[in-house]
Amino acid sequence: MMFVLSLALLTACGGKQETSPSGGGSNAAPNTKSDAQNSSAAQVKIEYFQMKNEVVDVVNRLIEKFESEHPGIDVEQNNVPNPENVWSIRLSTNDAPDVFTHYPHNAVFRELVKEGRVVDLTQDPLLADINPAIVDLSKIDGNNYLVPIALATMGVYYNVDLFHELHLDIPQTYDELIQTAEKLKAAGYTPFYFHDKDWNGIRQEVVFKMGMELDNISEFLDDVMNGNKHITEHPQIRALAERILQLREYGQQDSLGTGYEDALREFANGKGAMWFTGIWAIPSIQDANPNLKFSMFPFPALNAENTKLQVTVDTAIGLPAGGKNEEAARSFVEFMAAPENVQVYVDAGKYPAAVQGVQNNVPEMAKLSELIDAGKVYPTIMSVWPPGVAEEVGKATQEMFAVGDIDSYLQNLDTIFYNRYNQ
Amino acid sequence: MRPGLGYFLFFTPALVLFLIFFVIPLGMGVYYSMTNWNGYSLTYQFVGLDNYVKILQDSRFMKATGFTLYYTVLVVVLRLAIALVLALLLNGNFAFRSLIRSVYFFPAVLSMITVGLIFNEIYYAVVPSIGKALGIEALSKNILGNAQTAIYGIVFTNVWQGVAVPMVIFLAGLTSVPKDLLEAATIDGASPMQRFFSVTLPFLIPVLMVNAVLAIKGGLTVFDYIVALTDGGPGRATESMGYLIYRQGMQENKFGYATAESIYVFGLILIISLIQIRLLSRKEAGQL
Repeated sequence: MMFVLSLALLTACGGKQETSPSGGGSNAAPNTKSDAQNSSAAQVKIEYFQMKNEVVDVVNRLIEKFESEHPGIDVEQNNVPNPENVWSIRLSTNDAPDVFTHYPHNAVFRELVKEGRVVDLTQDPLLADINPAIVDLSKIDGNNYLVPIALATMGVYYNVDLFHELHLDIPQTYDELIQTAEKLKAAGYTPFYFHDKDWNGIRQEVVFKMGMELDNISEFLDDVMNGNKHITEHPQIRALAERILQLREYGQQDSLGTGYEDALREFANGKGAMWFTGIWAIPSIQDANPNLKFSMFPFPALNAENTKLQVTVDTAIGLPAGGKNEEAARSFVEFMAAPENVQVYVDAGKYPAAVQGVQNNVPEMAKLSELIDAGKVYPTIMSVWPPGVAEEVGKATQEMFAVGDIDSYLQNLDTIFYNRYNQ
Repeated sequence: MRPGLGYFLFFTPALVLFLIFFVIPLGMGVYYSMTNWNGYSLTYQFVGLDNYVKILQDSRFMKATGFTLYYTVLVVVLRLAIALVLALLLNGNFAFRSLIRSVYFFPAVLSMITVGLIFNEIYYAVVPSIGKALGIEALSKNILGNAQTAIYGIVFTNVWQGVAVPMVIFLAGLTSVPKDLLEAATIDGASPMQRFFSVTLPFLIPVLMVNAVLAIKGGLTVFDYIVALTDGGPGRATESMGYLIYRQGMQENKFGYATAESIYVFGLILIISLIQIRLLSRKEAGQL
């Protein structure tokens, strides 16, 4: 009895692992399918593997609308923890989802594109409505493999009431930002909150500022990673490191002991006047304290005309090479990229849209959206960094905050980047 | 012949499952540790013992090994000492005995990640307020934000939760100490200390060894607490071997390399276990 049971278990497991395009060999798979299929014979079922937990509800609403317009297609949403790893593992076991979201700047995604595992969408009609600057920014070696829907960017959150009380204007340059911080400090407030316990937040800040403030930084880092230059040879990098450290003087007492959630709560409760992080914190701050009046401004560059926004593609949809249901999957992507549906999606998720003809209905993001509309955007510089480099940069900067030594920080950065491509 | 066949039929399912889910993956792991597979690609190369040689020169791995060993020593000593003291205190007859025992056992039923998140909050908000009120410099900031003190924050959390199970095992062990021997020792004029070291402790050696094995295993494989409390930081100050293998295998796409690291950890645990089994069997033999 036990033997039979365990054998049955084994065959079931074997059948599940080998969901090859030609159809599973075991008879368990067709059985379960026929239950779902007995209503209509031609029903196609596709899986939408999407990576953002916070949009599960709105995606379900959109799927309902899609299914009512396309009665022959069943869409099943799949949202799992640690989605990027799950996605790569499923691709490596030939079990790619029919439609998925991913990030064009993601190192693993770029590697798998180079291996030909994702459908090339360059010049595809699916991209017709997408903002051309964003189409450009999400290219990988000159080609498009994802349809960008929504964007992410970062900026300075500020406490509107506090700024009114002290008659502070939105700073337009870095020096004005420091003056604003000085005034806040003199009035007894904490000018900035930082969440330096999380290396990931530090990494985001460093990458954002390097991309905005350092001339030709991508080419320069390419040279360093090829072993042709050293980090210290960049004329502006030391001053930038000093500015990043200088800003900590205006932070709370124990920034290295403060995590992202802590900083969010403190800012929402009016403890800090300013906080630099991504637009994704807007809904959480509103949840934490519905009474706080806050807004965002772009982090100012040294010169006002250089103030730009690093924009990353935050929701972008793609198709696996050799997918089973590519036709149905395509019509779903087309639906998800249509301006009226993107409007629903970005309103719920509070993102800037990547699609033309979609409005920004989030007042907190207004000043950032102006820059995006004006095309003052730049891509993240870390899209070509080998896996692991970004984390090392975050942790090295964290060490610099603890020790305060710029020289050894630049030395550590050099160790991280120098000759990295050839290792 | 017949009974033999019957036995074979009975243990085959277990054997097959063990082979498929344990032995074969282990063998595949050894194979992958000799490749440069990144964890997702369809292609990879066989690199022989390259990974193993590189690891020996890898300062990050060595640092993680040192961290893990130091951490294990702290956790094992504190867990066993505190659990033993608690078991002795809770062994007597007193009011609300079962209630108080359950209170001390309660941390064991929480998940490690939950405990980690609770302590994150305690270290962020509670401890610094107390430290400031008492004027203790070292406690007036989040101890997890400082490379020198972060390890003690993790150890404290682990010990807080980790004394419950060994305490229960010690309590069970204490019931095996013969009452007449203790009484005889009292009549002979032995002090409570002498009674503990000469009568109680020798009977507790077997459970002490069981507890030591569990505590060492918990220390060497520490992962959850680190993810929940520090994420390996600040900098790389609290990267344990388990955490490092996860980071390099799953996040930095060095799957083959991380597998080779885990083979080293396997070897280390094997050596420590062999020593323990040796000690255990010798002590038990001496006991009997």
